[in-house]
Amino acid sequence: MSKPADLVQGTLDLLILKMLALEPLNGWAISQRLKQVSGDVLQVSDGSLYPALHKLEQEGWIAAEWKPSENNRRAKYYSLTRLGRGKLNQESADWVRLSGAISRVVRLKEA
Amino acid sequence: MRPLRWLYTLPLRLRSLLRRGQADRDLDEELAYHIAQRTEQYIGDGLAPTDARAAALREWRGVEQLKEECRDMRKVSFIQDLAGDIRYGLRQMAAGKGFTIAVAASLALGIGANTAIFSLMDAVLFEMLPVKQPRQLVMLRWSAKGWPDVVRDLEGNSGEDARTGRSWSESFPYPVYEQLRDRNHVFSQTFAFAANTPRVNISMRGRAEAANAVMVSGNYFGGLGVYAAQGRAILPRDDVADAPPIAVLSHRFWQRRFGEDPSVVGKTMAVNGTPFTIAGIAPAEFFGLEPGTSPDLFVPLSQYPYLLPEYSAAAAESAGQAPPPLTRDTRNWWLVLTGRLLPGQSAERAQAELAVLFAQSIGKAGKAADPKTPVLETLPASQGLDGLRTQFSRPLFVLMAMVGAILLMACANAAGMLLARAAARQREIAVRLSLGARRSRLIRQLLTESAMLAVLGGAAGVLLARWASTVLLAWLSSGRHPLVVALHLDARILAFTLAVSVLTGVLFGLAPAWQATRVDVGPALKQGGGSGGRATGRFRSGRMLVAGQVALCLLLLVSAGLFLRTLRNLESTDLGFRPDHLLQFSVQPGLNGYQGARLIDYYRELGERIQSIPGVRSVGLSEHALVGSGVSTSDALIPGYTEGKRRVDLHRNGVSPGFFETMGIPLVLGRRIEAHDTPRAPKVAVVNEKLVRKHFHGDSPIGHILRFGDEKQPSDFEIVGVVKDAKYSQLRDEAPPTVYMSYLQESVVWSALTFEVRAETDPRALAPAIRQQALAQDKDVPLVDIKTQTEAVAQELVQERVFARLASLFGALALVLACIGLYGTMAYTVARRTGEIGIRMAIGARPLDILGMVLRESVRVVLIGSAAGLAAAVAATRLIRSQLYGLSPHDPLVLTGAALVLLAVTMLAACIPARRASRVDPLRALRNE
Repeated sequence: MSKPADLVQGTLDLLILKMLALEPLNGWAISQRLKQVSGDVLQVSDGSLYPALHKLEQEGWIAAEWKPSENNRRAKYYSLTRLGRGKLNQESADWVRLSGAISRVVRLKEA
Repeated sequence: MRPLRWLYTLPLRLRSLLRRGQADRDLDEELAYHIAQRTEQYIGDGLAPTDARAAALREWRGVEQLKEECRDMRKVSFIQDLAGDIRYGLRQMAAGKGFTIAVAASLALGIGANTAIFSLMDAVLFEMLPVKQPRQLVMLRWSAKGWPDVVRDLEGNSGEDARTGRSWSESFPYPVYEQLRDRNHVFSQTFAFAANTPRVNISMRGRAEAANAVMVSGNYFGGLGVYAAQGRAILPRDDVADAPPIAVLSHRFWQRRFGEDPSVVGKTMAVNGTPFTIAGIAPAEFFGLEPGTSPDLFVPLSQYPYLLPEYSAAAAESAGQAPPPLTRDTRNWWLVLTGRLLPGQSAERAQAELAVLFAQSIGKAGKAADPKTPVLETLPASQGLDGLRTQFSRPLFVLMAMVGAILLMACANAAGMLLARAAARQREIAVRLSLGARRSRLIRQLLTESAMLAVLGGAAGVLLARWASTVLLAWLSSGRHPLVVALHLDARILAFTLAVSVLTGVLFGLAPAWQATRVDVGPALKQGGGSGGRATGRFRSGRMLVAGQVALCLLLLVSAGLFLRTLRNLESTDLGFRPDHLLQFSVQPGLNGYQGARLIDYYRELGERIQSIPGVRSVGLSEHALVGSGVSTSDALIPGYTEGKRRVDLHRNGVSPGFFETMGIPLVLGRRIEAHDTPRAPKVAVVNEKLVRKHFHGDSPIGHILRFGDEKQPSDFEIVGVVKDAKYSQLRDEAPPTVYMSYLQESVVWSALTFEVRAETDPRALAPAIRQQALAQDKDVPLVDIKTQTEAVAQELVQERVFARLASLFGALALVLACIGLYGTMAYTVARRTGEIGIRMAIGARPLDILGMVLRESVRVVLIGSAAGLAAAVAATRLIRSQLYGLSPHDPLVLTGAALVLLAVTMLAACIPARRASRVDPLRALRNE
């Protein structure tokens, strides 16, 4: 398997927002879910996940709430705000456009 | 969308700031949870618990660092960004010192001027009286159509409302005061003070001088809630007829005369010859109820016989009978009444009740239908009597408008400079934008820079304002009635300055910041700011700013021209007499007990003594000085020329035989007042041409009678001469119909008169000799108000002079600012278009053509600005019509003059960049392109 893809900051934000759009999660759960959904391709280092989460909260795109987790420990659950939803839509659209363009270039047949 | 997000995130950011401790603990707990989960996972994979935990921790290359990173995200980015912006801004300012100084200096001028005028406005217009709860104070006023029959003598503020045609006055008789005071249910205190502040002679420790005295009721200080700074204030028990005379000194007088010596309390001083005990000193800021005045002492109303010579014991003696006591006289209206509303009482209810009481007290109950019946109304008195405000409010607003214009120009200048500099920084901005900086962040940073410049300018401006408002106050105080206000630099002023500074910063920073960040990143990066960027080649916005400045400049130049010409017109207006070489002064021997024959002898002897001084050409005296004193008017019948009982109003002045010659008023017909016009001789009068024109329709008035007095006791004066018109008190008005009679033939010889002395050479040089003669005659009678006639006239024109000075100053300032703006803009455009110029020259343009091109562009900007300015001038100058004299606000001479000056000076400023443009070396320019 190749090295886990190095994610640019902006893309990580997009992934986090998308995850939280599906359901509220805590930081640990986000990293596990990402790994699971992407088939182990995307492994976010915890060192970049938490700073990203705090930044997104500061910007107002996600909101936090302390709730007991499955094993009854207190954990910080993040959820998407209304503003965050808008940001998610915008970032998704940008991503689709960008990745489409890159794919087109990469698929060009060599002469 | 953006402002909404800001609103949402602000509480979050504030919360993070305030609950930093809690946030840290949360962070620890959050990360601890994660580590615990990871440990569990490893345990599930088969590691021993301790190993699992170690492995989990190892994954995080530095927990503390991570925490720090998270905290960085949490940190209130706003404040942090702001601190960063400020640091960055300081660096920029230090790097471009010249630029910083230029912008800050022009802002300091604009902000300083505004603050100075505002603090003056604040002191004059908005300042409340320094008394307890000024908002509860209410003053009384009455109005009527025409002259009510219950009023014989009226003092104090009065006027006519042009709209309703009713005359109003703020004075009431003593019996009315007593009735209102005793019978009302709306005031907790009702107190009174005399409308006029008579001059008195103070003598203490051998020195005599003149002072102003305010007569107040016993409950005046109590009602105002003002306590003495030393000793005690006037109490109700001092305000009875036979109470020992006491006086309370004002703080200012105490400072000036006694050097704040506390031992004067309890001592005695002679007021008009009567010993008064000094009971106490009023507090420092207290000046009575008339802002802008500075009374010297306060005495109880009951002591009026000692202050008003016509009621003194000596007057009673010489007249053979005592005049009716002022406290019983229902027809002498001389007191201003003020009351303090009871808590919960409204001014409307008070007015209703007091109006009824008032009508009853003057015997006019139920006669409200008669328009001549005086009707009472109440006025809020929190700011004291109106005189100062009405006199100065309009001029102050005009000044405020002018300095506002200056500030706008300074802002425009700063904006232009910032625009230019921002365009030069385009590369830097483009780089930052491409690296992902948010546009709003950059704008905020640029705004912070401009706000810092503005605050720097504001701080310098406050210092400037301090100095400037002191100077301005000194200018305004050189008039006949010195303006005495205390200028504070208090929180309100500082808040105003701060608001103006920040507003200025945003105003002139916004446009450049907006435009600067609208850069197309690509081209800006590539060309490195050569001639790229949007629409900066022509610098349209910069030129619009200059056009705006030119317009404002023209407006200010026009006002300067109008005020200067007004002053010139007033100064050179024909007074009707010759003001050169004239000295005038007043004496008040009546205050020292001179009466009847003794009084007449005093005047005659003083006149002879002065005549004997070498260098004196002639001496005259009059009841009123023609300029700088009040007026006397009387109504009279002119048999043969006025129909039936209709009386006409005439100005009058009692004079001595030498008066006309001393003043230089030419005789036209008949004779002047002469030495043989004594009290026993037939009463004669000299009239001026205006009176002849108005009432005699051009017939010779010689031999005709002017009938003064009333039906029961007519007083006939035969007209024996006609003199040329002379101004009487008002410089702006035409000479009124005036009658001069001998001061000896008046029903009562005045206890104070003004002497006029014509000197051979310098009138001022005579003053010591005159003073010596007066002292030799009677050392207790001081000379008052010694000044030359030219000084007296100048004193009348203080406001006009101040305005002319200020307007010229502002006009000059505006010119400087406009020139800087134009020069800066044109220099910048030329620099930017070096390439274009090079090309033009390469294809055959001559230097002169380039020069012409730049000049033409400058002219276009100036012309557009001038056109706008002229339109504004035509519209705006109408507002100052009332302040002008001798010319219309649309005076074509002033308008064209201002426009020409503007054009000339701005073209001069534009020459420099134009010349630089024409000197461009085409080869070098093209190479750079």
